[in-house]
Amino acid sequence: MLDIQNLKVVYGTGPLRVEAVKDVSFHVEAGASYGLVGESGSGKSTVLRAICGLAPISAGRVLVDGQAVKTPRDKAFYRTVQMVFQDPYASLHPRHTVDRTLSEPLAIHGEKDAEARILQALREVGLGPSFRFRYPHQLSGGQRQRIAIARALILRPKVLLLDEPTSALDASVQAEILNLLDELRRKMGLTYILVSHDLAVVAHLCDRLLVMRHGEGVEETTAAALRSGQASSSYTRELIEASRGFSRDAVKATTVAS
Amino acid sequence: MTKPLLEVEDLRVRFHLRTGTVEAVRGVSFQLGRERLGIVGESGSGKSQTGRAILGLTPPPGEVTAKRLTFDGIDLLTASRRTLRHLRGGRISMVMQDPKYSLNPVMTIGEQIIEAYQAHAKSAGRGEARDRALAMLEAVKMRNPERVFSLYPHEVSGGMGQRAMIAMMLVTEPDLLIADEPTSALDVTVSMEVLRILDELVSERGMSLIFISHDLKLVSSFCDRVLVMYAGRVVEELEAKHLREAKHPYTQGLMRCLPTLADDVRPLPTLNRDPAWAL
Amino acid sequence: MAGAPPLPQPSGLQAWLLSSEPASRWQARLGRGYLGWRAFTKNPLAVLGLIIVLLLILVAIFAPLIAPYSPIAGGNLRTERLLPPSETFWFGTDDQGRDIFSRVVYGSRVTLWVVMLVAVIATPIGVLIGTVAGYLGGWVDTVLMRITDIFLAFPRLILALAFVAALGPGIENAIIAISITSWPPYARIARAETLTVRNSDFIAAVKLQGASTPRIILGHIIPLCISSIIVRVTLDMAGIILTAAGLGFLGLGAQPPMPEWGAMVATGRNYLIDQWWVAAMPGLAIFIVSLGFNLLGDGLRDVLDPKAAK
Repeated sequence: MLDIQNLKVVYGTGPLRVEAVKDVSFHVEAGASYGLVGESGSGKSTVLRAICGLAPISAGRVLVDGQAVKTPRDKAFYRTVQMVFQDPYASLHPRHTVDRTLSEPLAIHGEKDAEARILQALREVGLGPSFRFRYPHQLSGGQRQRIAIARALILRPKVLLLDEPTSALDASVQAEILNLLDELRRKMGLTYILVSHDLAVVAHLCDRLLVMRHGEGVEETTAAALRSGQASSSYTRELIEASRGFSRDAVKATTVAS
Repeated sequence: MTKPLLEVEDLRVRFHLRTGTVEAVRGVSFQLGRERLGIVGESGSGKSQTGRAILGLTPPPGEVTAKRLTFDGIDLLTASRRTLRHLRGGRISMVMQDPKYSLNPVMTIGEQIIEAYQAHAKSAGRGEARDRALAMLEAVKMRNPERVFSLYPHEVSGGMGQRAMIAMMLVTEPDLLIADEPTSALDVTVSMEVLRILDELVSERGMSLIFISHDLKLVSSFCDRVLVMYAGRVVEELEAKHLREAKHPYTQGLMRCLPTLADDVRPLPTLNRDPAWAL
Repeated sequence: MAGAPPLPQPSGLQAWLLSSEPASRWQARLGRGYLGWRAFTKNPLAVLGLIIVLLLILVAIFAPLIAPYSPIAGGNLRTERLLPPSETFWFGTDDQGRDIFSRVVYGSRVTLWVVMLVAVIATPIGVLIGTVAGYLGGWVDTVLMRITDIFLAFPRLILALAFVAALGPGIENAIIAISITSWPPYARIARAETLTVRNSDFIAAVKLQGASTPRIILGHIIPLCISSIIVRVTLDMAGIILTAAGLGFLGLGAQPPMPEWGAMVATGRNYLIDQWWVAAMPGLAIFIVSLGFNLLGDGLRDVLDPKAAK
């Protein structure tokens, strides 16, 4: 379904030149869920942005359904690939009601039947019709994220790019959103690419994943391997260890650059 | 039994807004000795406001009331401004979440530590202050303390910035350190690093620690005792090692709803918020 | 925050407006407007400004009913010239024997006309140029902003003078001239607001739906600029009135016998010492209306842009 081949993303020129993504390749089957794990600066979010056209592709190819993406992306692309952003407080327009936010993609693509589809979209993410005319500041973080998911799914895309969808949410709300995402994927046969710094979240939602560091893929592994603690790269092992929480027994050398 | 260092009884923090009064903290009581206390809660639980109330840093239009709020016998509610200034940074310090916002961007790291030191050791000369600052930077395991001394906050990474913040807050050798989400803005490997340093320093100096966080697992592995807050109240108080035997449904729910690498529970158990918890 | 005891329930219309679950687009919009109104009315000076502006509008609309005499027909040049304020002539008469009060009342129409037209012409130009420049960036931004800089470099009155001198005197040309010089600050403000939101996630999200640039600028970016622009335009009104008055004073705006306040002050100049009311009355009107717009603008800014307020 989705093929990334030797992707390279470079921002800026001269002394401000930054190679956010140096060389990343992976392949995602239709209906599968693939994770990109890494810390800040690993380039994982940049890969998502490059896929959907928000970041420039400096080298390499991105293929969706076997076809290379066009630059700039066309409407057909946007009907196939959609994205959910990290910060629920920033991804909804503060002056638009939920109704406006959900009806806009339908209007852009000339879809009829907006009323029914909006109500259906709200139901799918577990919100009732009473939410339809609220403004974002009248919604909680979890509710906003549900609206963001509803917006992404209203055009019935095949691929959903999820950029740390739960990092800005409380733990209890995170569980609800993860359950929702899991359910939607199974019900609608979606393909997910999930970016997260949290190994447990990635292991929960994804089957396979790529560990990234400094713009490169370090190790491609599976959720099952993570759960059993197996990893071929020392960096992955470090991440697994860190996800277990603080422990006074572990004594290790620092990897923090000075 | 020695007298507790910090005594809090029926602490209430209210915000009088145009639209009504909001009670962020509704009757929190606890005592703190020479130990590590974790305060855990989600957003809106009032945990940060509790920490700030102890230091007298509640932003206006907030109002702090309590039956008792004493630090080492000093009544924090009626203390003069001078006393509070002497306490803040001198005997009680606070490390906040994001060094990007809590360090002064136009002063070098070294200058800020010196300033913190000299504010409380009035007789110290610049040479002595500088030595202390460098010693602290070494204590927080900066690889090149002299170099970091002359760097500005924006020139260092998040982890280094937070360690610099810790250095600044501990240079005056306070009795109590309040850490408000000290590692939430950091990457997970970096935060382990910072926590280890914090752990060592707190043990070495025999300080008391209040660790405020939303991360129950982290707090229970770092602290001796844990207070779980919900809607401005403490719903459970227990020893960290007895976390598994938590009785309150909110604590139990909070523990169970997180995905872990160890088990694969599908769907994740969600928290059913009983309105009775907020009463 | 959780845990607050519930506020006493408001009733009827208020409850409908304040509902946290609006059932329609209009209920949501009106609800927001109502909250803004409540915040606005907490400031007594802002309310005063609003009253003054509303008074201006009402006086302009009902001028024929309020003014006791004709504003342009001259009176008896032997007995009714330069009479001081009295019961028959509330503001006195001018050198043509005309009732100054009636002229001031009708003059409000001219003032309102100028202010409205300038706002309606200059604001869209400024906002469009600013948002397009800010959103598209690159050479479009550079070219548009340099043009804006050129217009900003001239003092408004001087530039307006130059235009009117070129186009010929008259109230219409004065309006055009003032509009041409008023839009640059709006462009600057709109551009600044656009730059802050351009890279937001919600703009990225709508781009990812395939939204065209005009849709993004008109539907997403301009609504976020509106608050700052409204405040700026209102505060500018005072300056526009003064510029129009200035042009009128120089004889380049409204032409006699039109009762434009600035022109009235000009004629009053000659009689300032002994018949002060000829210049002072229209001058007072200019002052009050400018003050009204300033207070209103300040009040709006406190409500719409709380960060800039303190």
